[in-house]
Amino acid sequence: MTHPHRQVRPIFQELLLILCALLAIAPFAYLLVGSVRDESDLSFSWDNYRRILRTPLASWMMNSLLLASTQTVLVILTSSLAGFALAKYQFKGRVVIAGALAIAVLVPSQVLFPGMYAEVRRLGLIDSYLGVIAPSLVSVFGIFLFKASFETLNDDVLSAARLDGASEITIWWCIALPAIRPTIHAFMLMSFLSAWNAFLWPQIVLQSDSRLTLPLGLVNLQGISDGPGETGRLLAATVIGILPCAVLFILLERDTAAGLMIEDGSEAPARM
Amino acid sequence: MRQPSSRTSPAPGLAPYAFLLPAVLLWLIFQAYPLVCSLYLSLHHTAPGGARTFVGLQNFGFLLNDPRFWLAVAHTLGFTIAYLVVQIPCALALAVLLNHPNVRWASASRFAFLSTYLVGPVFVGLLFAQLFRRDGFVIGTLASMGVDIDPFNSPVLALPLTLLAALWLSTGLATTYLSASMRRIDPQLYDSATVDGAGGWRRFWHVTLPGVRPVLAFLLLAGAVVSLQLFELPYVLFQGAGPRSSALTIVMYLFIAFFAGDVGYASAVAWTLVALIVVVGLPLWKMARGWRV
Amino acid sequence: MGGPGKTFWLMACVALMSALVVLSRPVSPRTGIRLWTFTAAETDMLKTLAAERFLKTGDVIHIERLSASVLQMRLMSLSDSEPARTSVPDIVELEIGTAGMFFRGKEAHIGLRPLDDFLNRAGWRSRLHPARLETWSIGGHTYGVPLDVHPVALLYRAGLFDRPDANQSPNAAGIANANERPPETWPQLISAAYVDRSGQRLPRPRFHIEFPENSADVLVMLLMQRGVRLVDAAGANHLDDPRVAQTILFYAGACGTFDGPARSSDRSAGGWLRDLAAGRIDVALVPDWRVDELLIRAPELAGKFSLSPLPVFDPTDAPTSTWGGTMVGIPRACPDPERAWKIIEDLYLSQYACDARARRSIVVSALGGVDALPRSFDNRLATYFVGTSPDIFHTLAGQVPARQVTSLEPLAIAALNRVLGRAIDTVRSGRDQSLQADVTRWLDAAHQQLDAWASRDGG
Repeated sequence: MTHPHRQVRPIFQELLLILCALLAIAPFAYLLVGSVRDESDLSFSWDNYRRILRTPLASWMMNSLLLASTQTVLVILTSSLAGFALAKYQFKGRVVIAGALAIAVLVPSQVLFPGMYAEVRRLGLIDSYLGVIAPSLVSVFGIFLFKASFETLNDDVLSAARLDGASEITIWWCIALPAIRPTIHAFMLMSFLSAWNAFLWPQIVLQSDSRLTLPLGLVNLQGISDGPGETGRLLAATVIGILPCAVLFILLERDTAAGLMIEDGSEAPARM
Repeated sequence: MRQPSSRTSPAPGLAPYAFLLPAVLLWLIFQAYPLVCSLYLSLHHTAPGGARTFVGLQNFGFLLNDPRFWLAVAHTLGFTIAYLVVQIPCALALAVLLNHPNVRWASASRFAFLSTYLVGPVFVGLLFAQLFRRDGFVIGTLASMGVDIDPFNSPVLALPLTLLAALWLSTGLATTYLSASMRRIDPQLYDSATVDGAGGWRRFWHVTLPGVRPVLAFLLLAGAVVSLQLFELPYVLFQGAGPRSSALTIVMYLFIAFFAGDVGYASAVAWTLVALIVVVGLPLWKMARGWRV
Repeated sequence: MGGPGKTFWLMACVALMSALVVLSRPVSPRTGIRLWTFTAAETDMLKTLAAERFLKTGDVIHIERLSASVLQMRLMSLSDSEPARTSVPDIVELEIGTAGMFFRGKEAHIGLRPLDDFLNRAGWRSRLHPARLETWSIGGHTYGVPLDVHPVALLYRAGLFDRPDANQSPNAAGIANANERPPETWPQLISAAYVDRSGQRLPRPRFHIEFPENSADVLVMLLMQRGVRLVDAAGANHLDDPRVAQTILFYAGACGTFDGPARSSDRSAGGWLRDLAAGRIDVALVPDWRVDELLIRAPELAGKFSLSPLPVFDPTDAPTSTWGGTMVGIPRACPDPERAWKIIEDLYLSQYACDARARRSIVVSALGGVDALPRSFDNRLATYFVGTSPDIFHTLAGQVPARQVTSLEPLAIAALNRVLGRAIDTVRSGRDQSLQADVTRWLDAAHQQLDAWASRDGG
């Protein structure tokens, strides 16, 4: 803790911190600079972006936006509903369900894919958007995150609302959810990033060119960029690719740690 | 202060079941059932076109006898250990730096550290593939200093490059967790430690570390589970398994098997991964629960 | 009010708007032929030919370039399900390294259409290179039209193997014409690196040959030259052939010596050319497509190199090998195979198409009867390379060893890669006293494992 009579400026620590921060953003600098540089004469040029727009990047972007945003919205709704139920109610089967889900947390998604593939084929969902987001519509991690978060809420407020005649769903929507906004934001960022970067499952399910997502399209682009001068184009594509994530990050960054800091359970997450 | 959530409110009828319904239904249809399907498939030999023959545990026998599989396991485990061993101390150190009193630019640094998280494994792979190209910026600079290396052509450097990319991606998040957790440590604990004559390092060891134990446990467990599933990053970075397959991971092995048309075999690999995660994760989980108090 | 907050609604709006954009995309009706290919040069060639064909016949052909691995993955998943008609390509080109998985299992499950009836028409079958036709056939049916032969020659810096000769006189280009041929055997070639032109022994090699240590490509070429088939048509593998161990010992010896004559080239795009220009590599095994790259991308290296047939190990070895290969085929699910075949004939097999390709590149076609091409096309080799016959690849094409595409071949090559890597590491570490026994042991283990795979795959 600070000793008020010794306001020494920790120069060494500051320099170290700045150095590390610069190292952290150095690759970003390379990315941005490389994307606006002409390969042959190293001058400033928007050429790389122009070339990128000649590829189907826009359609990949749209597909990715659709899939990632839909998946995020739905998974927040399902997980928060389930988390609320597990946190705030005593009901038959609660232990069983909670236990089953607890075990499911350790299961990696990849083990679902062969079975999902067979099932998706049978349901005719191959090469469909629904087929891509189906396995991720509910997140067991999310359920537990919301459960822990809701548990820190004061029950008296909820009881008061019930006495006023509010229905359970209203309580969830109007009282509980707003109270844990940081958690929602943190989970939203996590889900969106995970959906945006999804590669394995979309590669398995999608077949038409028009439905390709951004990671799939870019990996293919990378594979055919074996001529000279393709670096700038790939870097420009990467910049465009992380743009939505960057926007979301800027909006939600402050809540990331706060929203997920219920592990130690020492206090309710700070409202920001 | 934690308010114990009272569960003595009158059970409001169907509400909990209705709330749970979407999640549980979706989980049953799209996660539980495929899980069972996968188990079933892993006992079969499949070929493209849907041909399926029951072979019992033969798939597992094959993969346990495949030196390439063990190569993948070695790479994945090695990566996981190196990842945890490097990331956690680094994140701790950075968190301590961030929380140091009177440090300027702390919030800007915090933002910088966390910003690497937004990139994601696929785009990090693309970025680092260009950044570390033979004729690119980093390797070119090193070459002009007399160090002639090519991570894309030397098996020894492939996993370290992957590790570097993974650390760049995620250390910021770990730092943020730890830093926030550190800020919650009761300052009086520090004061009494100082009064007892403890210097900086001992204060760290006896006050800070125990204070962030729950978060450390979480980082260890989550980090291990995520590292064992490493795939997109090396696959995009090396556009495959790398020089002499030195970047082959378990999930990459699964991916290759899947697209060779053998879904049953891929399923067997996946279940072996589950077993590995349980073996590695269970002790860490127990440790995490013990540290929660 | 309540709810999850503004950002959530932002996300929901994004979802809605992107749904509108995506779902209102016009669903393009399936007109025209879709063709998948994977090299830039081929894409350009096909687009030119397709454009000219469009002017004549009005047929629309969509040429799409994918990376070879992505092409293989998408075709595999298309073969495995019942895809919507819009997503199956009509014509696909497959690369020999990634085609193996399509050539296995029951005949009905192979994702490509047998082309026997098409090939027997108009006598195409008799005009195509027989060894290459065999490559793309299994179970008595042929599934792909071979497009190339890819004979391999030895590339070396001009004058590298010259011996001092009093009767030398420079030719009109100022290059001394006493271009001795390279040594006849591989061991002699490696030893020649340590001997200078006057016969003096050198402490360090005076030239470097490209023997990559992280990839078994060159090793496989050497083995094929010797007549070793890694995996034959019956699915049996020959990793336990003593020549395999012998070749690995030779290769590892060359690579493992510190500062030795073998070097790995830069694997990045254009890296190999830079290595040649910079003098890091002086000798290399080059198939015709690599020479093509040289001609197109490195005009400044003209007059600096020569080509010759490969050295051998035994006198019965072929003076050439093969590396790479492309076929063109029709997926089984293609709705109109007749139309697809007509396009294949026009874009790949017709005289017009062959002429256009021959003008663009020196790659030898698998279609015989094209020998009647005007020799002027081939003078590029004579002008670019010193003392090289313009016919070199055509002559070598006749002696290219046979190769079988099977799903086991990638596994065999991966196993070779592992054994080679271990052998090189052992030589490097100096603990190579029992290398021969070790390599034989590793190869036997790999042989047995592959046999197990083969018996499993046969189901």
